[in-house]
Amino acid sequence: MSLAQRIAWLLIAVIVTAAALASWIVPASYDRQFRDEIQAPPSKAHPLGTDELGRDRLSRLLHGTQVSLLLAPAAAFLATLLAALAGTLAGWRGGWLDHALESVCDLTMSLPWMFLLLTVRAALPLDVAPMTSVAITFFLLGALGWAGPARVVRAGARALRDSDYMLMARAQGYRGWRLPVWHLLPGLRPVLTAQFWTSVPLFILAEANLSLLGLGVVEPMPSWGGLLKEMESLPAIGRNPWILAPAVVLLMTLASLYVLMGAKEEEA
Amino acid sequence: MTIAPLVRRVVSLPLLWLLAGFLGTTLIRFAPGFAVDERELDARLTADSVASIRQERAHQTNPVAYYLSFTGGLLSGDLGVSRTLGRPVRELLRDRIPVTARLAGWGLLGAWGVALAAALAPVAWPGYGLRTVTSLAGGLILSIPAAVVALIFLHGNWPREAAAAVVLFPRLHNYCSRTIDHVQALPHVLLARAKGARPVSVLLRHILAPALPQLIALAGVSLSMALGVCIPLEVLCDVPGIGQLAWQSAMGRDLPVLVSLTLLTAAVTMTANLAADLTLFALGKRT
Repeated sequence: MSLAQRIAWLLIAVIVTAAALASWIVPASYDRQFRDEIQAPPSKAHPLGTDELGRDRLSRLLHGTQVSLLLAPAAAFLATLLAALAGTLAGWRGGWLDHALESVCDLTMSLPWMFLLLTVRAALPLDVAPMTSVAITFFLLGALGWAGPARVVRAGARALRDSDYMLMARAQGYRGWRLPVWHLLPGLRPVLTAQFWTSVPLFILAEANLSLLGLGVVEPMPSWGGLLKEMESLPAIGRNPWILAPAVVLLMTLASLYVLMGAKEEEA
Repeated sequence: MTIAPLVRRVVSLPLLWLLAGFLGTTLIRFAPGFAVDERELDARLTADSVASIRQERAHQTNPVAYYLSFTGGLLSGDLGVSRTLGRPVRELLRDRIPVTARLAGWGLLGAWGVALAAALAPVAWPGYGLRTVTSLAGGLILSIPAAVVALIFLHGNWPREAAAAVVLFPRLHNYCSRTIDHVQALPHVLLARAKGARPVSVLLRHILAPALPQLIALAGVSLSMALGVCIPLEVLCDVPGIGQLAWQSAMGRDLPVLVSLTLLTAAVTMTANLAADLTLFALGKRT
């Protein structure tokens, strides 16, 4: 394991552990407002200070990390699951089903990802409870992010369909749904795993962009994207440089994920 | 690429394009709050006036009928009137398309230039650690959301076109350097090197030429990437382009604008991809 990979693992471990122990590290809830300490500088009680509503920034950062780190993989899992279903079915059956999937993928991918997200998100309820906004945001990412992976899975399924071990499985008497489920899908596991890990950073970035545009996770629920909103004011950054902390954590997490993904690709 | 899939693609494109517009119409029509018009809250309005306001939007309630009338108007160049901005959509697009075209165009040009240079330089001058430097830079920038890059350029008062280039660079560089790496490991490149060809000659004659089909395909996709990048850039940097219009109309459920933008962006990206495929077909080099 290279030095870069070790650092990446260490960073991921520290960030995940801190997020998991958020309530223990910072007892204050992410939405508790300390009205006497609005825009307070870092102190022992509030290591990253407080925001304009008097909320503890560290608490919000750690809980926001929980939201982003739990739900981006959940959205990636949904996208990969949909891609596995559609891609395997189309690659296995071929014919009109394959053409139909190709058309749906073309249709989905004919629109820029951000435009598609923006339009579909805006078409859903905007004035919703914070938890609902979290669910909507990440469900949307999962439900719209399957088309690209589905194409890769379909190509993999087509290649495996005509492989020697599938021929052997047929010769052994496997028929119907057992062939794709028991023999094709396990063969596609490396492709699916790669698609899952590729989607995670993409969805983290998409959530950050959506939340900065006001269409992501809504207040008071924190998320990395929502926390970055504080960066909109330049004088505020000058006065409180620690509001850059969410950007730094986001950067470290994504850079670490890319380093580990790159290492996996090199191994493959 | 053989001719049959290309023909199928050309034939299916208009259908997909129209379908994209129809799906957009249906989506917005059934969005919560679509039927709400804040003008109705004005206490000075009489019941007749409120009824009149509702009547203005009656033709938008049936998505099929609306889309048919919209496409009919499209043929004569009438795209309807924006509900939120109160101006003909055609005028809005005429004013804003050049702004986005300039932003995306310069962004693409800058990103392609830097991405290609960063992918090719380590091949031409190996052994200087250029690959590590470019990969590190690309990886770091890739980890920053486009909206944050927009804010950095906004606060620094730097050109927005440069922000677009910065966001697009790592995405293009990633693919370019993988393609170049793949090609330079091919036997003919190893043979050329073994025969003592100079690095620059190997690069131009033996690497760049076989990598061209993949790079052309990427060029088609990069236009879609650029349009996506324009949305956060234009919204956060207050650039009056198509991206900002898309955001404003999405927030206001502005059906005529959103359908027009869906058709416009779908047409642009589909045409770019088709152009890339046609170029590949003409070159006869698609692998």
